[in-house]
Amino acid sequence: MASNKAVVRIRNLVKRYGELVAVDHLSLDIAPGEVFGLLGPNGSGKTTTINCILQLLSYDHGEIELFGQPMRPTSYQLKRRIGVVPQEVAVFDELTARENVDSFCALYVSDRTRRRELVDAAIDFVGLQKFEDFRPKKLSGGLLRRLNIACGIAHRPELIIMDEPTVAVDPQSRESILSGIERLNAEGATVIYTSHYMEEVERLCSRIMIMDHGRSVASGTADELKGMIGTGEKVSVEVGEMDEATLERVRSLPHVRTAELDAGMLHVQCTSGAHNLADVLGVLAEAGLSYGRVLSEPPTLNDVFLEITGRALRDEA
Amino acid sequence: MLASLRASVLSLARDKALLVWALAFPIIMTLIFMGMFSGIQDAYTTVGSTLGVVRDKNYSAAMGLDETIQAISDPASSDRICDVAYYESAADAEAAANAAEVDAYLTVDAGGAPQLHVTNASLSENGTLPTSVLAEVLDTYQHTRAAVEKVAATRPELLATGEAIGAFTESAVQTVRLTATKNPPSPDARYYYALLAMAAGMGATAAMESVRRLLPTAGPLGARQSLAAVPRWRMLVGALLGAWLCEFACLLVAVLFMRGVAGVSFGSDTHGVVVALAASSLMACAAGALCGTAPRMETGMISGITCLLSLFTGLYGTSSQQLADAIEATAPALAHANPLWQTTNCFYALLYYDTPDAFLESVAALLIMALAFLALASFRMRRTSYDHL
Repeated sequence: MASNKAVVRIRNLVKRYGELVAVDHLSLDIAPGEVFGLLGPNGSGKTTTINCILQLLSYDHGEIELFGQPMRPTSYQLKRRIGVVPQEVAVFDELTARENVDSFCALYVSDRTRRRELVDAAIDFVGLQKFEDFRPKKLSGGLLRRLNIACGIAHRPELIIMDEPTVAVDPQSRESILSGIERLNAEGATVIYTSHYMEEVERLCSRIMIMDHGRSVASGTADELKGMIGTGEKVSVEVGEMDEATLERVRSLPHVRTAELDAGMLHVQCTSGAHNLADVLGVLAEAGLSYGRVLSEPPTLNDVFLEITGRALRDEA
Repeated sequence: MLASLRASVLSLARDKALLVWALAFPIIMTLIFMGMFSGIQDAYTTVGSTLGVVRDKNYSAAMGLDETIQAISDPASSDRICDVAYYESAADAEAAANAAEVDAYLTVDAGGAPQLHVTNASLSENGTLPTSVLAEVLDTYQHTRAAVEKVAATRPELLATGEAIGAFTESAVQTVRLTATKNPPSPDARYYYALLAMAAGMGATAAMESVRRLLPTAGPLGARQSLAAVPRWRMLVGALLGAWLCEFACLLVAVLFMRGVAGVSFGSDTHGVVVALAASSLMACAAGALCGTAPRMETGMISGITCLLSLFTGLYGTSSQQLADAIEATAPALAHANPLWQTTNCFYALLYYDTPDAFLESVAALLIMALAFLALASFRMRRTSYDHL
């Protein structure tokens, strides 16, 4: 990707906290109009990277350019083009929803007439019209999240950074938020999106980077990521009874990682291979077993994530 | 900056903490003080005595004496210094004095000379001040009467006109009200001024909260505002200006309440009062801004510091005032270093001092403190690291 077209361009970013290397020679490019997913376990360096991009954190080494210009703490013209939706709801408790949106919009847009239009549009966008005179304490968790988003996007930024915007919201609010992000993207906004909900990332993101230990360990589209790992599809077959010898023959197939019989269902986790389902069904046919339902689930982004970053708990000391 | 100012004003105007400490607190305390000090003015005021007058033929014959007595007992007169009770005989008047019904009684001898009688009972009950004032009045009467008699004996033609006699008699009362201060002493004013100083100190929490909201290290709201497309100093100025305006408005309402409801005197220099409020609230906001840069500083700590400093302004009663006066006498620099003392002194100087020197000194001290606090706050804010975000 040509660097002069990138909305975000990072080269060899290094951020240390004493001995701890939080971001380790990270490089990435985000093109205009992308929804870029930034994934990683807790402590992998996602938020540190975002804070470095926003110049909330100084960094030890590297270059950060936004819209082709170096990003500095005083790059106010660049900041005008950025909107941030932080992970925690960050609004004024004493102001109403409308006043909150207006206050944050005023940090970027000084013209009151223009601002009124933008605030109206942002409130409409997140569906807070009925609650615009409510103070945050009167809003539910989902409405608060939507207010949080409205405060971040009211000034119509070209680059929107969303840090886990759907944490602790109900499915309806989540759906509303996700479709809103899709609309923002459709209107031309570039989005950096972090989340622990893989299905959200898979739905929204045109490109994904998985970070671990401050480094980029994989990046590409969701399909490209799935192709990078050894995990293949998960085959489930309703077989009823099954002898141990047949089960062992399934396990001995070349692309089978595990095979278990549970309540009449044979669950086979495969590595990537071209004929996994046919191979499993072939063993069952040879054993003279009849079978009912057959399910074949391709690997998910969650499988990719776990395979790349491991299954060990990360929040333990 | 306007956005920051607006957000600050709106937030603080709806912030219960500011309204409680900077507005409700002085008003409630004013009401409490009104109850506590309802009798204090009487204790500090010389009450006119009751004079018994034996109204016999000698009294009636004494030239100008009755006019003098009426002049000093006229309820409508500013020269009133006593009430008068008339008796038919000296015995009746003495009995009344012995019963402490009157502080003294007046008889006139055959020569027309008034004589003031004071009994032990009336002395022990009322002290000597009222009767000494009465004695002074009667002395003045005697001198005037003697002068008139002398003129009548030597140059009677000078008394031919009523105007001449009037010249002697119009000044029958020679007492003059003397004031050592610009305004009459108000024993409870010091409490109210110290209360205002305390309210100003408590208001520092408003600025602290406003500054905290702009610090990225203090929470997500601060981090979010740090991403604004305007320089940070403009946001800080806006936030502090908002806090200053809110605190100034609260203190102004408190002063109006004290003046209008409690009758607290602030002297005649209204502009001076406004300047004092502006300076003290600016100092408090600057102190609050400095506190806001200290991550571990809690609002309760500001309250504690303010309560401690108020001890040296005389807010907590006579002992507190004696302590404050003793410190001012023995270690004036220590007293002057107390911003709440300077606030109290601003109002004190406006009320009592003839020249504005003391007032201006206190205002200047408050402004210097404000600048020092703001400079320290700016320095600390520049040093603020985001690295634990």
